[in-house]
Amino acid sequence: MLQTLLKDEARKRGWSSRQMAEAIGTSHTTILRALRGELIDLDTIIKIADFLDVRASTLLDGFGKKDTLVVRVATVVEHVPGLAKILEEASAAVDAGAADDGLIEDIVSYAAYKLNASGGHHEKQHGRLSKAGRPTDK
Amino acid sequence: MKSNTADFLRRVDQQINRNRNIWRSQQVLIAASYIVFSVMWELFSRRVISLLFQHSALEQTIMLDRGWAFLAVTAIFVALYAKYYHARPI
Repeated sequence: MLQTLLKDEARKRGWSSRQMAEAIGTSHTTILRALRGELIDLDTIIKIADFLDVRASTLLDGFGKKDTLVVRVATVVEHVPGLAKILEEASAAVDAGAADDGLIEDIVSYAAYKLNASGGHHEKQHGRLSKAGRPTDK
Repeated sequence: MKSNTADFLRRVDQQINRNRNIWRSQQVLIAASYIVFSVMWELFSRRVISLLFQHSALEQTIMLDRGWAFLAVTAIFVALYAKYYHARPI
């Protein structure tokens, strides 16, 4: 989704990737990496989300949207148990009205994106997270 | 993006990085342990086999097959690693 949204926006504005990079406030190389679907850092994701005026979960839509939120939360917590505490706090913040309803979705989408796209040990241990957010069979 | 959303995402980022670093350290520790075990095997296996089998006929056989015994222990390590490390959270 990130790639598609960026490409659509560039097409709509008639901009080159270099112009997009300047407008977003990041390097040309980083935008090229994003367009190629490679892992980009969180700060760039935040900048792109702000530039496109979309949520992180919208930007990272391809990562686990097919499952219910509960299943996706369980999947990322299974991979990184330390996320449970963060999700609990986020849930409390949503309940208290300090954050909006989409916060949990943003967190889960970003965690799934990072676990998937970084190509790290998680894949070796658990199989690559499918787009549905579950580890695929080996 | 709201600042509290960005803050939460940064915490998620740090948590995943932290876990990854822990995992890498564990891999280094496992590799180092295996190297230490190999050196210890080379240095002390003869003595241990002698102590265990007390000059029996079996001692000579095992002494000759020390290389195979080492490979067998390595295979057990690899099997245990594959079986249990997989289940670890990170």
